[in-house]
Amino acid sequence: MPKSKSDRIFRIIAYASVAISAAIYLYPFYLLILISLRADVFSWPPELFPRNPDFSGYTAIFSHPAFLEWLTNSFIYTICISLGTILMASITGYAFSRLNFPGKTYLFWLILGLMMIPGIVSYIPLYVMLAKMKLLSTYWGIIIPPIASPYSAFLLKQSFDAIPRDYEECAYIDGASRLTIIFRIFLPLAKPALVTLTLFQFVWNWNNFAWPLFVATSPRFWNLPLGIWNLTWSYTRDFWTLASGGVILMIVPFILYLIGIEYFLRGIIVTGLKK
Amino acid sequence: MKSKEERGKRMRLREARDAFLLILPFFVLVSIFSIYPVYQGINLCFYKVMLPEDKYIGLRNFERLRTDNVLTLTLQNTVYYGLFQMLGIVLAILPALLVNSIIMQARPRLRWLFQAAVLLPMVIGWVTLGMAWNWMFLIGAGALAAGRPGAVTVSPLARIETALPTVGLILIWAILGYNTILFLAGLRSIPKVMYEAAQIDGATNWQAFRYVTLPAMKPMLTFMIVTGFIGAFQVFDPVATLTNGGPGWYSASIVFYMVRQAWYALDYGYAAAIGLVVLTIVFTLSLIQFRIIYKRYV
Repeated sequence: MPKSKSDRIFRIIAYASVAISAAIYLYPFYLLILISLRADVFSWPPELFPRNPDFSGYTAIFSHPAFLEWLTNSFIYTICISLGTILMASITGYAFSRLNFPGKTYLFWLILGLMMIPGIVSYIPLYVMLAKMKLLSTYWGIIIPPIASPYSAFLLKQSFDAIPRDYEECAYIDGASRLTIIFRIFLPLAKPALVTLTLFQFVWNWNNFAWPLFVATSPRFWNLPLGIWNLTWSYTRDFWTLASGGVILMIVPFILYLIGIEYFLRGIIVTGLKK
Repeated sequence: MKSKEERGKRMRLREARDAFLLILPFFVLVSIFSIYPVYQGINLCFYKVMLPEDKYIGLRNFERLRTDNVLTLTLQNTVYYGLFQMLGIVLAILPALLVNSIIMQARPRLRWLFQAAVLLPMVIGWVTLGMAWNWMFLIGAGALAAGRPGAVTVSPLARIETALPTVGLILIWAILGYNTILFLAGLRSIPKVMYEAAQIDGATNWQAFRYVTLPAMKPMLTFMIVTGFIGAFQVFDPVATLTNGGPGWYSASIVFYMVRQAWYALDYGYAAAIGLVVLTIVFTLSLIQFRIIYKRYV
């Protein structure tokens, strides 16, 4: 049958194109892992499967005096900023989605306007401001400013708008408070949007190094990306040590990505979320 | 009758009170950390930030903007990065069509692998990406130089002529998967009936693409083009991690230059003036984007 022949060609093209794109997209990461294991990547053909992996890069990076501090900071910043953002975006989004109050339209326009301000541009006046408030290189100064995110509030408002009103009206008649309604009814109902936003927030905040670059003036308050980045340009470490740092850095987002790839896809397709 | 009206009024008052309490924390934070900095940023442009007190220097920062060659260069680089983003959009059309007609019909496992691989640069931070690509190019340059005696191992990221296009290509690599997935979603939302109608009318594949697919994708395309340029004017991480702006300023974006002015020259006033330029451009582009969305939905 002619059909089966074209089918086979189709399948070959499909496999080939997936293999090529997977190679283009995965090889840089694989190379980094190879270097971190001290495989011989400089010879030709390169050693693609390390015969005797050497973990000395990893022990070296862990014994760097500040490494554990940076790692801890990364976890603290990521968790606090992400959860704070989601919390604030939920209550703000709920108010804009469901409640009527004077000036609502103007305040909503204000949120839309704020979304257009490129973050990094406002970091400079923010830095001068925080310096005067003596908040540079403090946990407060690093965590509080990014928490009020107009973008997240806008996104949650949009997904709350899609929830039918019947649910909350029952709860309201039963005498539930606003906060109960938000946390017991809205957030569970908006779960897909919420999980998507949370995952993106975690990844963004984990990878963010422009913000700590500004406000974490003391190396003790750097997060992991900033610390590793500074090591890279100081040329004082072995490259397998640096590569180990790069690999450790990508483990957290990689795990989140593997767990929640459906949510990441959803975030990109439905709301156009970006890096 | 009257009591019912009064009760309604009281309910509305309570609703407004609740609403204000709920949005208060957000707007307090936003006023301090987003709105005030914009005002403060415009203010800073007229000063030289120094201790013990900032010095008012009038329009001198703006005059410097006009004559600053590095600013012109970095602005030009930024426009190039914007063009590379455009290229990343155009180039994504082909894989999207390919995926739509071939890989989507293939096994779900294969589809999963494709999507997972091409979206990976979206979630891995630029510090890791920058490191990985620096090694890719260094090893590649080494392999190229190996066969020729006298050739030097220089990564294209470290050479004046190639630094900018190389960063641009890596930007394309990072965004291509994302664009492909977006296009794919767009393609799959075009009703099959339209293609059947085109087929009945005797349209060729190319004509179907030209007169059915493209018009249906147009709003998405314009949206992506504008967001691409907005993105280019905020490029910082890729430059900082791939080349650190070098060699010289040949791969620096305008935002990178701004950060350098604040960070190494400690000239916050001038950095704020550059920031104002970026802000103006981004704001204008955002308004255009907003008009596009507005026209689409309202």
